[in-house]
Amino acid sequence: MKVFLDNCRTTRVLPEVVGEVEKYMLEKFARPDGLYESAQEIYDELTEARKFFAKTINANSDEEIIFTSGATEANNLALIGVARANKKRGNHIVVSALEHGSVMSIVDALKKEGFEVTVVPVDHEGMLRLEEFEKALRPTTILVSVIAVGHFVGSIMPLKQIGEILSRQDHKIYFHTDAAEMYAKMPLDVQDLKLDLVSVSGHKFHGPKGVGFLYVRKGTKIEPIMYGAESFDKRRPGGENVPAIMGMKKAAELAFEQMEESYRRLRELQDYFIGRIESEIEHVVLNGPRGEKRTPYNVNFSFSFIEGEAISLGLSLEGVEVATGSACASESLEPNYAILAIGGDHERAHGSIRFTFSRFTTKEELDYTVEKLKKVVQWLRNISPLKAER
Amino acid sequence: MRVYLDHAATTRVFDEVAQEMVKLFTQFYGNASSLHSHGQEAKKLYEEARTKIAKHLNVEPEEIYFTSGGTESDNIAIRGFLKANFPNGGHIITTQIEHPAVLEVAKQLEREGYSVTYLKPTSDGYVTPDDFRRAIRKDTVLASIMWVNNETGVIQPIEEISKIAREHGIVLHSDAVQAVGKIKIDARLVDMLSASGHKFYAPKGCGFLYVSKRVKVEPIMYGGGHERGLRSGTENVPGAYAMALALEIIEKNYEVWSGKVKRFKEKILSAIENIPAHHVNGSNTIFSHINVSFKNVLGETLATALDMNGISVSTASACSSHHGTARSHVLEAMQLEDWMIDGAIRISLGYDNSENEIEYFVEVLSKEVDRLRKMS
Amino acid sequence: MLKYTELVLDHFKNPRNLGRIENPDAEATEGSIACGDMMTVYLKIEDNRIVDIKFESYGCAANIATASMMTEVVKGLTLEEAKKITWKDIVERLGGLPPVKYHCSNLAIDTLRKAISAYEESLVGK
Repeated sequence: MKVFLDNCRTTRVLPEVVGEVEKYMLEKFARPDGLYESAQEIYDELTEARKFFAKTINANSDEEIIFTSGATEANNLALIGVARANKKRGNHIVVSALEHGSVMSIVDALKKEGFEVTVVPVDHEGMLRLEEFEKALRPTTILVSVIAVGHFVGSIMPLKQIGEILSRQDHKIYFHTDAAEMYAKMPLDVQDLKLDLVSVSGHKFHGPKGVGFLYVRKGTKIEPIMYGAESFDKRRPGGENVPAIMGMKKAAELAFEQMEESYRRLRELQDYFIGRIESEIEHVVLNGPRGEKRTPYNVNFSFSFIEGEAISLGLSLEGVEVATGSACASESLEPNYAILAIGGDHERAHGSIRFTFSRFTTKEELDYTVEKLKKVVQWLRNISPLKAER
Repeated sequence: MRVYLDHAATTRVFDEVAQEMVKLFTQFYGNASSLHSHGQEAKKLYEEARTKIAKHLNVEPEEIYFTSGGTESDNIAIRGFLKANFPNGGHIITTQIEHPAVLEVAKQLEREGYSVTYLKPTSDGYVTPDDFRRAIRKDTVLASIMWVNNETGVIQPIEEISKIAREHGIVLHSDAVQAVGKIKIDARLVDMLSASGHKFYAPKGCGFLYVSKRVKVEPIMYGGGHERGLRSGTENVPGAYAMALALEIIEKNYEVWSGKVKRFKEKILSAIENIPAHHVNGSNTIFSHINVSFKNVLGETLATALDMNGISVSTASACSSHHGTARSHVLEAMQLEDWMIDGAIRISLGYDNSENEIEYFVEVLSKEVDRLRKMS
Repeated sequence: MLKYTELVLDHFKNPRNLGRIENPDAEATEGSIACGDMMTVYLKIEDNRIVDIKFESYGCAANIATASMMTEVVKGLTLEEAKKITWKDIVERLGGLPPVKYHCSNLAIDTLRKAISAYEESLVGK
């Protein structure tokens, strides 16, 4: 049996989505800016797609949706574009300690352009410390970026409270969120959350890779990061990736249809999975929050006395694919910062395994995983010089 | 009958390429940066694609970087190069006939303090090596000259310009979006080269950038450090694989296909010869392009008329048509007469056109030009 | 990202000389949990020859595989011969390792040498 539990990194593309992509590669392949009928059709369909996506997040207008090549580009456009455009007003940016690597890389680069960055800590459950967040805001703060759902430990950030805090400030601070792990999995209402910018990634909800979008609230002062022919939007030049966009739309349609039901079903599976691991394997620690504060799509445990890359490779040889926060598994040989940010030590990071579900994950797959996990953990603990007496 | 003659705007993905992509979407969907076998398989295919594309261009695999398309490649090449080597200013040479992806970058650079010389083309549509040489200054740091012009199809004298650039130690970038997949390119002639997948029967949303080992370029986007730090973002394995496969297919069939297209072009040109008061815009053009104007017939009107007959062509540049009838900056730069500029349509042939289609087109073209002239 | 050879995967799945030795002639531990890389090596020595060697490992697949290969290589060697084995030898025997994993092989050799030194020091004064 093969079990894919690394859906936070990427998901398989659904046949219906593949069908859409194929259709737009082989039949309806015209560019929307052509002067002929088939081009006009594409133009209209793209506009419909924008309207659709706008509706999914309760945006006011389809013009607020910019298609990009993925969430990384969306994050770059949002952060760099807004930072540079508002430089005269201020140079301070606030992010959380659990941002996705791409956001951290971007703000690091912005530091070189003269921006100051404050990283607000999270608590041991991975929730943003709201008091410290509010204290971190300055008259020169122009932008805040907080991930919607932590991708490593699964914490659902208090976006609503953040939005409220920001609306109480006496100057405009743009509010961005990387919603890759929230979009199409739980409700996201940009009016309710008072968001100005939202990054979404197509391949996280069974859409194709290489496509995503950025929501930009009308009136947001933002600069482009690339220049060229104005496709639909001066802010993002270049030919639109129509097949991928239409594929992403189909994937989103299917995901939203099942969103509520999946949330409930996966919550049950999550409780079951966590329950089995905690009762059947010793010396384990759940990383991240329990219950409603946690996305039902994510489980993350640290296994004492053994190392994550070995665990994940061992599982992989048994057909189960997961992720690990161990330093050994990263190119940089640094332990996953998310574990450190929630107060875990290096050892806890090294022994961490992240299991991320898709809405198609079954109880059978999880039972299989637990069996293999027990086997691998037992075997590695036998070889380990570290024992429970410690 | 529907006849698609706008291949310079975009192409239909090869059936075989689409099939392979479907396989990749559904089977090898692993994230190429992850440890497990799904990811490793994906990574293998991705690197294979890189190697194949490098071979096609006669360069090393590590000199090929995958991007989301031609526009992004142009941006990384020009802005990334300047950021890494000349962040405080300098002189850049480009042309008046570049694609907006290069022109808009150049304009932005001027706003940031760089000085830019835009070489004027001859009325035949190319920039001359002599003009290039004359434009070189002590502070010239970069040149960006397209390989083939997208509107006219005129092949620019890259070989000679390359020699001059090398003589003066100037880094040369070329937007080869309209050349890749159509003519044999030895990328060694330049230091950086941009390409876009959907112009050579690969899908939209993918492209690549060649950067010579000798040249340092910084990223314009940040993230997970993919593509050796130059272009972050989850690897688009299907796109990369598709591009490599499309080029492979083209190479395999090149003789037959290019011969076919050349014949079609000749057929169309003969037919045009029989229509009075016409002007073919540009000389030394690539076999896929015919940019032609008919006196007293507006290009847009003709294009619409052709569309009503099921034929798709373009006018001005596809890219400027969102904003109403923009005049072609390329034809204006060539300083053609007004009727040539306003009457221009661009016919761009592809490997998937057939004899029937061309015959039909030729018939309709003559008919429509005639009809429209009678109306004007 | 990390491509392991068939041999590395084999040593990972079926490590040789795993476990402890009762009353070892030498024992050494190197590395730390904080680093995510740790190893303990046990030696049984007769007439200056390593007649038995066992190991325990906390670490990634490369860590386990290099330890396993190292024990296979040095078992039966004299102490002098064993001291000459380098981390490169281990990597070569495994058919290569991703460069980012070379340090695991280093750890295996370091632990071995520490055990040998401990043994030699214990002899002084006997």
